[in-house]
Order: sequence, then structure tokens, then C-alpha cells
Amino acid sequence: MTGARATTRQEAIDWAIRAQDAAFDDWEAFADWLAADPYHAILYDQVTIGADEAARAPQQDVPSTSASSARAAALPTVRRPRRWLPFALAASLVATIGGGLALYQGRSAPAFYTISTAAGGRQSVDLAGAVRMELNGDTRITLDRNDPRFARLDQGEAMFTVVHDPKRPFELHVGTMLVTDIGTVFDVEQYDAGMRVAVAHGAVRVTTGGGSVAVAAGSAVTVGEDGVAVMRHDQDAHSVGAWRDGQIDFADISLAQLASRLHRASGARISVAPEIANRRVSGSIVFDGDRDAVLRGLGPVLGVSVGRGDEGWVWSGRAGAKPS
Amino acid sequence: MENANIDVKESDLVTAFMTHRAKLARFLRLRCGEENVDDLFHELWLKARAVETPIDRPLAYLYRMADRLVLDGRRGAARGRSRDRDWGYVHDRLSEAVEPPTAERTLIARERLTAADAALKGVGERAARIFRRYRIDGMDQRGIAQELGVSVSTVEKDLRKAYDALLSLRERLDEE
Repeated sequence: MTGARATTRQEAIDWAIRAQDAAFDDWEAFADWLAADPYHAILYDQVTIGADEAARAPQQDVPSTSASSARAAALPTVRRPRRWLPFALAASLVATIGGGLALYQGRSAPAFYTISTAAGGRQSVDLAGAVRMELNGDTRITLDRNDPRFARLDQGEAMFTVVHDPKRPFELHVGTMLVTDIGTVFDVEQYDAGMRVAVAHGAVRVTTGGGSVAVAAGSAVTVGEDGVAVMRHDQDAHSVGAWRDGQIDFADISLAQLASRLHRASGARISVAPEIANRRVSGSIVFDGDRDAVLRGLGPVLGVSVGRGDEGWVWSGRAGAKPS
Repeated sequence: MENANIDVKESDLVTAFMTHRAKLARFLRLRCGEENVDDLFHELWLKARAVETPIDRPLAYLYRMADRLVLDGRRGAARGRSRDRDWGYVHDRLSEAVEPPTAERTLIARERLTAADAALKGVGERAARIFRRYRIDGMDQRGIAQELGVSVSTVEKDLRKAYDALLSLRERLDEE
């Protein structure tokens, strides 16, 4: 054995012993040593595996505490099941933390471009045949010519149908939040500083500053204005993306949010009186034919007075409001 | 409609994870290569999130968790698990969690442990005991020195002897 190799062996052993200590705090220096030569990592693995096996070997004749002999006697057993879904993908999750650690080496510099729709408009976008986006009205989405697996929803709502690729999961950014696909059909709506993700098929992982949740078909999550709090609720898979058929389903959202959804879907401007803006409503509105007739008739459905102002519709509390 | 408030407040560990994610990723990459770093990073993230008690030195704690995760993975590899699946690494590990090791795998595992134990016996009773105190019981070197009535430098030397023997064993076996 050459002198250099003997030294390296000794270093590996020393690092293994030191790192074993509970108080060890020199991890960066250790990483630097690993980085110095690929052989270091191999050696270190050998040492630690060797030590691990000796530690786990059942031994009868050497006296030790009862706790340690119990541990030492334990043969490799069934490991605790992982907490994630079988198809969760770490690659996309990693990229979410703090918004943007580029994990893929050799990714070329992004060439961003934006697609916008007017309120009441629609647009479909196909990316490399593997991601289909249907944009609702009043929506803006940023894409990258050099990366068909990236999108950023700047504003509005879009429905995504994603063909799964385990090596390159689709990443949808909404502010600092991230939705990643796992072979899915899902809808994302951005509003104020929050967003709502509803899944029609498959599952996605939603990551915010506060943590990460998996959302499966039949569920939706709402991330609040603080970008952190996450509320999960049921949403029938069939109703996800129903806006594409002119249907607006809503469950426990504020009147202000509903007004913005209706604007997106129909182009109609609706201003909501401040004192009722946060009132929660649930229901379903279908635009079939006469848009104005539908909007005019919303009063009884929502429990508001529907009027006309200079810039469009006005919703106010029932007492003292003028009907249109 | 149910309201489930999930992870509203970040723990120190989560904050440390986010702050030092590049370092942790680098560490994992150096230890186990590009292919596996994503999965392990994800696991580390999940584990960090699950810790509810306050942690004194969060970054050191995260490094140690990462180190253990790598060792866990290595243990799985050492059991001679089949790699012939279509599923990737993630699925292998998940399915290991629900299937007990095959008889063959258990046999291989037992043989390896027996060989390791024999190698440890080979360094002498005191060194073997010191190794176990250190590695299994997690006692620090000073504590071991006190307990056995020897100097700390003796403990250090014996530990080196033990680890060296175990490394030699692995080097021999891995070359076969």
C-alpha cells in the first residue's frame, strides 16, 4: 500500500470516528475532504458500513448494557414506510425551497416569454406536446423557451394536463409557491397573494414557505395571503376546470374572489361594496348565452343587490340598494 | 368543508434547512452521487419538517440526519437487493418498506454481520468493548476513558484499531 493511500485510509477512519460523536460540528470541513477526491467518499462509505455492520452484529459473549445488546441483536428489519406518495419526486420539490435552487446541471439560461389573455378570453398552449395549458381570461403566464417543463402563473387561472416524466417533472411557479406534477390534470388559480390548486386526476405537490402537502384528485388546497397557511378541502374531480365549459363552481370563497373569477371568465367588471366583500358564498354559476342576464340574476343567488355603475356591475348589501 | 391548517409556523430546523439547502445538497451529492441526491434531499426535508422539538444546533443536526440517511441507503444496497426493476430508486426503497427481506437477502445480511463481528473480535476485547461503547451506546471518548480507567488517547487508539480492522474487512470483501 502506498504512503498516500495509507494516509487517505487513516483520514477516512479519523473522519468516521469524529463524525460519530454527537457533538461533531465540522461537517463543512468533512465535505471539503470528500470533495477533494472521489475516492474519499468510497473509502468513507466502506468504513461506515463496516462499523455499522459490526455494531449490528448479534454478539453473546462480550458484556455490554442490556439496551445495547438488544440493539446489537436486532437484525435488519422491515423499514418504516416512507411518508410520501409512491410517485412523489424529490427533484421538483428541491427546486421549490426558497424559490429556485437550480438542480439540473447543464440547464441553459432561460429565455422567458409571456402569454396573456383578456378578461373573458381563452387560450390553449401546448408545450413540447407534454404539457397542455388552458388559460382562462385575465390570465398571464410566463414560459421559458429553453425549458418546456417550466411555467409561472403571474396572474389568473389555468388548467394543466401534464404528461409525466420522472426525470423532468413539470414545475409551475406561483409567486414563491410551487406546484409540481406527478402525471396530472390540475387547475391553479392565483388571486391576491394566494392561490388555489384543485386536482382532477393524479396528484401534485404544493410547496410554500410553510411546508409541503400532496394534493390528490378530489381535493383542493388554498394557500392564504401570507403564502404559508394551507387549507385543504374536497373538490369533486369533475368540477375542476369547469370554467372551460362556462361553469363557475365555488365553495366558501369571498364575494371579492367570486367577482374576480367572474371577471376572468366573462370580462364583466364587478365592484363589490367593502362591507360585504369578505362574505363567504358557495354555489355554481353557468354562463350560457346571455352574459348580462346571468349576471343580473345573481342577486338572489348570492344574497346581494346587483346594480349598474359607471364601470360595470356593482354588488352591495341588500338594504338600500337600487336594482338595475 | 374542513379547514386543515398545515405547517403554519416554520420550525428552526425547517428554517435552517432552507437557509443551508445548498450545503446539505452538496454534502449529499458528495456522499452518494448525482443520481440519488434528489431523493435523499427530499427525505431529509420530510424528516426536518417532522421534528417538533426545538434543536440546539439545527445545521449540525441536519447534517447528521443526512449522514444517517446515506447510511440507511447503503445498508439497503449492502443487503444485495435486486435492482432489476423498472421503477427507480424511490420505488425500490418504498417497496422494501412493505416487503420483508427475502430469505436470501437475510442470509447475506447475517453473513456480513458475522464477518464484521469476527473482525471486531480480532482487535482484542478492550478495543471491541470501546468500539461498542462508542458506536452503539453513543458514549463519548472521555466517558469511556473514565469508565474503563484508561487515558483518552488509549480510547482513541483502540477506536482507530477497531475501525481500521472493519475497513480492511470491507476492502477485502468488496474486492471479491
